[in-house]
Amino acid sequence: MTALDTPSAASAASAASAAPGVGRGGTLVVYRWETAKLVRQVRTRLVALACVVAPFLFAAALEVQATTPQDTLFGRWVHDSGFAIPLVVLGFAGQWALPALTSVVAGDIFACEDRHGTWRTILTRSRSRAQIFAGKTLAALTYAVAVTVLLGASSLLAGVLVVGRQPLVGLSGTLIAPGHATALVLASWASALPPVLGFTGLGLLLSVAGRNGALGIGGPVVIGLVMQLAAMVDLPVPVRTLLLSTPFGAWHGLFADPPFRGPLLWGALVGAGYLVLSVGGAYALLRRRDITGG
Amino acid sequence: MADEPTVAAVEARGLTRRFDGTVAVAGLDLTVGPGRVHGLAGPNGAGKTTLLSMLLGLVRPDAGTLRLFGRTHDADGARARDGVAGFVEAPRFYPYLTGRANLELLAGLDGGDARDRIADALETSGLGDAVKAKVGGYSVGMRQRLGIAASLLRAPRLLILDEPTGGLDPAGMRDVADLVRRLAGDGVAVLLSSHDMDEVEDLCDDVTIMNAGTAVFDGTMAELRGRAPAPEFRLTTGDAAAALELASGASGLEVSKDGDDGPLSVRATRDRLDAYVVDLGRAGIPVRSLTLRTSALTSLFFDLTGGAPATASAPAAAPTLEKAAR
Repeated sequence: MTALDTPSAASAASAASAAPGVGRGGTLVVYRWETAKLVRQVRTRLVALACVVAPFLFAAALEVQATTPQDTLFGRWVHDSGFAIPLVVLGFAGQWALPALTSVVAGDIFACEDRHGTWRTILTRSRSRAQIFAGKTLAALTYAVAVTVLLGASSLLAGVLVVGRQPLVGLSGTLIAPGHATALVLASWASALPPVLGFTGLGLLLSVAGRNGALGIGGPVVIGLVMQLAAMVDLPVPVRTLLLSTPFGAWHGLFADPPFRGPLLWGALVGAGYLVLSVGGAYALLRRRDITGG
Repeated sequence: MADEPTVAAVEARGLTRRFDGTVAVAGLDLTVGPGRVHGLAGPNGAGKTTLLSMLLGLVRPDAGTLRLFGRTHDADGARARDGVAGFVEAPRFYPYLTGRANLELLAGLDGGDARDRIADALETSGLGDAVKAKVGGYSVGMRQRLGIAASLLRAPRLLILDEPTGGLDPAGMRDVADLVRRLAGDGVAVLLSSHDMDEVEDLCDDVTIMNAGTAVFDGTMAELRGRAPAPEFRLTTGDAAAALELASGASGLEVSKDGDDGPLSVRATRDRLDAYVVDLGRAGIPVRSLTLRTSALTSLFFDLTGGAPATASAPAAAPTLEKAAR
């Protein structure tokens, strides 16, 4: 070590009191810090890149093959209208891809501090646990929204560029004009946000409770698949509507004539419910936890 | 009022913490004043790390009060750590980032002008070009240096260091010692834990020795030295039996044999030892080697802590000693 003009007590006191963010701004500071950390992670960037590239590869693959995925909603129209592509992608992504994509960050955002043993590094700075929790949660939610928007926008762009802007045949057989189809596709992807955020909440909860990234990332995917299996059996309707996987199909009503939007509202409520309960549980666990190891 | 220089950096009263029925810290009192270097010594399991964890807000006390510059974690939240920096156990960082990137992130978390201190902190750390390498490839000593740099970003008025020289080479240990002295000279309170009583003696103004969660000594370094027994030396001579006989009955001199052919164990003050060695020469007994086996403070440490690592069980099991008056 070399010579250093160490801070005097007075200047240190001044520096400490000048440090912002102990109050309301602290959450924003943590949010920026966590976002900067995520941006530096290879895994995070790869997932974002995959969200952009994968729809183009998918659209190109469909374009060159003679058959169409007939068993998928709007699958039979993928050669006839570019607007069918983002809807096929949405139908597929809702099964497990969106829960997996959001969990890549949410499921590991707390557990990574356990894995690296860095809780005692960050919790000894000038930020409260509440601020650390809120900042990390906001960062995970931001990432969830970002990957959904990226995947949706890329799918729409891929469909339009690879197939074209032809009118789309709706679920009631009516022809939907390109402008209206664009709006409906965007609305459909927007309707996926509530369940995506709900799965983000589950990832956050498992990340805190399990202190294990594999559990936090894989857990929501498994939960989503189990819910889909449960939806296939003869469950009572109230139970089925409470499943977090159900809102991923709420957009179907937008393409009926006349459209029905009730499932969209209910899906938003279910997604919000999962998010609030999961995040509340995660905070309760983290708030009183002793940091003795990580 | 919390920032007035007369306020103690640390004021703990009756701090207690149990884990699953095991008492880690039992009713501990501790005061660290500004500009003082306070050593925290004790065997493994004595409760040192739990105590430091409570000071840094990582572990909540079950009972007792804890004030840092007059502030408490319960009442002041994160503000209680204003001006407080340090680490417990080995400092940990994100292994996939470089040392510099880790410091930049932490400076972002600290806010204020922490970023402006990165260059100085890195220079102080002595990491050199290693700051450009990923922390995952760092040695223990390099992480230790980075941990100290990360602490300095906070311009601390209280620096808490857990085994700060662990893993450091002799040059690194000297640098840490120099830094601690310099910070204390600037009015920074330093609380450092160590197993090494020689390091504690070299650096600290005050010392608390813990065993099984309690303080078995709490006082100044001078007070501790006053209690220390004579150091123990290892002596090898050409005729152990004659050397032993020469020492028999001599005052201020305890000589015993380590095994049949082993060296002699000599417990004496340095002046008394010098006289004994002269006597050995006059008696024609050659002295082949003489080494310090246990320093005076280490001997006292063993006396106070029972001579063996504690198990941190019931505090009643700890050897007790009345606290030295400050």
